[in-house]
Amino acid sequence: MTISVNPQIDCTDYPLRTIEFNTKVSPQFVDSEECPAKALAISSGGLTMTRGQHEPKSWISQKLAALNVFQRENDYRLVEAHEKDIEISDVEEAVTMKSVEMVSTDDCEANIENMISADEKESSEQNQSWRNFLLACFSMAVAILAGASVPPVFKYLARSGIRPCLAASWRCQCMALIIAPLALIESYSDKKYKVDWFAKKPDLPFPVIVHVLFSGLAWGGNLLMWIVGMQYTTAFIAAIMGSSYPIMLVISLKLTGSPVSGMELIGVGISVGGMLISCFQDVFENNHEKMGGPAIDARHQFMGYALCLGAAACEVAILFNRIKTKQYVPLMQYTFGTTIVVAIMATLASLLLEREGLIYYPLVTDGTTHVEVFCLAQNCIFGWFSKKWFVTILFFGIWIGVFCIAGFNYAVSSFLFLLLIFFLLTFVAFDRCNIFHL
Amino acid sequence: MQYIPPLVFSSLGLLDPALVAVLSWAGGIEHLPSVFSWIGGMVVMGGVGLISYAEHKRSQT
Repeated sequence: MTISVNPQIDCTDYPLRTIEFNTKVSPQFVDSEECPAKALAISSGGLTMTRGQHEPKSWISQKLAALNVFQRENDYRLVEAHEKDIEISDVEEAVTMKSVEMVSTDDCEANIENMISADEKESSEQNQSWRNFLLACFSMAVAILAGASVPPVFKYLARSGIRPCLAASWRCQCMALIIAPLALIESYSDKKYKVDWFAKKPDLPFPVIVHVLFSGLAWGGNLLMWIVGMQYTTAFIAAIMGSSYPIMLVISLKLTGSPVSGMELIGVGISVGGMLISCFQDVFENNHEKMGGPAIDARHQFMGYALCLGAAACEVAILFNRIKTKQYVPLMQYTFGTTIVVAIMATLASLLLEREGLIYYPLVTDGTTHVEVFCLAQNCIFGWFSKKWFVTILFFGIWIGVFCIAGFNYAVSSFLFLLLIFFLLTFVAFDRCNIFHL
Repeated sequence: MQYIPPLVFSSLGLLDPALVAVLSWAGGIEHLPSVFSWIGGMVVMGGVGLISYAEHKRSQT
């Protein structure tokens, strides 16, 4: 008894459907010159099956094996444990079905075993899927919280006398050290994660490494502009401006002649209106001072907004570049590469620009005139290794660098995730007990 | 991203400024923003949400 399916039949016009079977029809396989879905409909009387969107291609053969057993053994109880309805949408699946012709109904024992193991696998996949979804939600919640804690932490560092570019350098140094082993693990975990950095890919105009460097430069521009801009406005306004990159995206699409819908343009108009409302009040009522910061003149406030908007524009460059490089550079290696670039940029910016009198920082008052390199004070490039700052910056690096990135992308295993939580909590506990400040 | 729909993902990102304000306030870094700032912020995020939705619709078609 076989199913005869003609793979040449074009089923693409045959709509997706739920097939209700007449339970009174005795189950028998039939030869059908029509669409394979119909052949199944006739053949599987008494059954209703659904092929879910995420079911594997092998689903049909598993189910047909079950049908064979059903027919042979007439074991209704066994079959009723199966899914409902079937959906067949393309010729590819018809071909998959054709291979099922070879399933011998004489080999019932094997079919039963196959069916049971397929069911167990299916059930385990469903459980796994739920667990992954919940873990993904949890990861995303942690990541959003981690991302939202960046502005307050940078503000805190500025108030403690750390210059903004130097703070960015500290953060990226720490992040790079934490992400380096993760990138190594990723690289050696699977052959497909090995990156050929100097290879030219057909859809990339330059070698892979150049694109990663470009992303690093764009991210550096984004971070430095935003963190400096945040000195002249509130964390809230800086976050709003920083989150406005979809506006920049639409503007850049418009400028490059790509199609932009009316809804997108309305969205841009609404957003700009909202910014004007926020900034108007911010400037004319000196909100910064009201919110507990120093008074900042309007000129510097506008400069702050411009820098934050510039940061959002850089984000668009990161986005475009990341879309292209995504398939060639896995997350952790990409993040490590870009973090190194940003760390170098922030260090150079701090050494060259953060001198007394060159840039006005209303929050930073550490009493020193410039940034130094090999020392452990708070005006030093490696100053975060000092007892005073090590735990704080490590916390910052783990929390932002790993939880935000890994959480959003859910690229680490749950074990690693738990391990990181453990480390984080341990460091916080140590910090609370002043163990690092002895 | 493979488990959470992109639209939900980008919509939740709109909470960022509000969370920043609350965390800054909770950490004693800044006071809570004024009503005007909140209104402006919500309008901005509404616009950004509209853009995200429009992009989502476009990617679906």
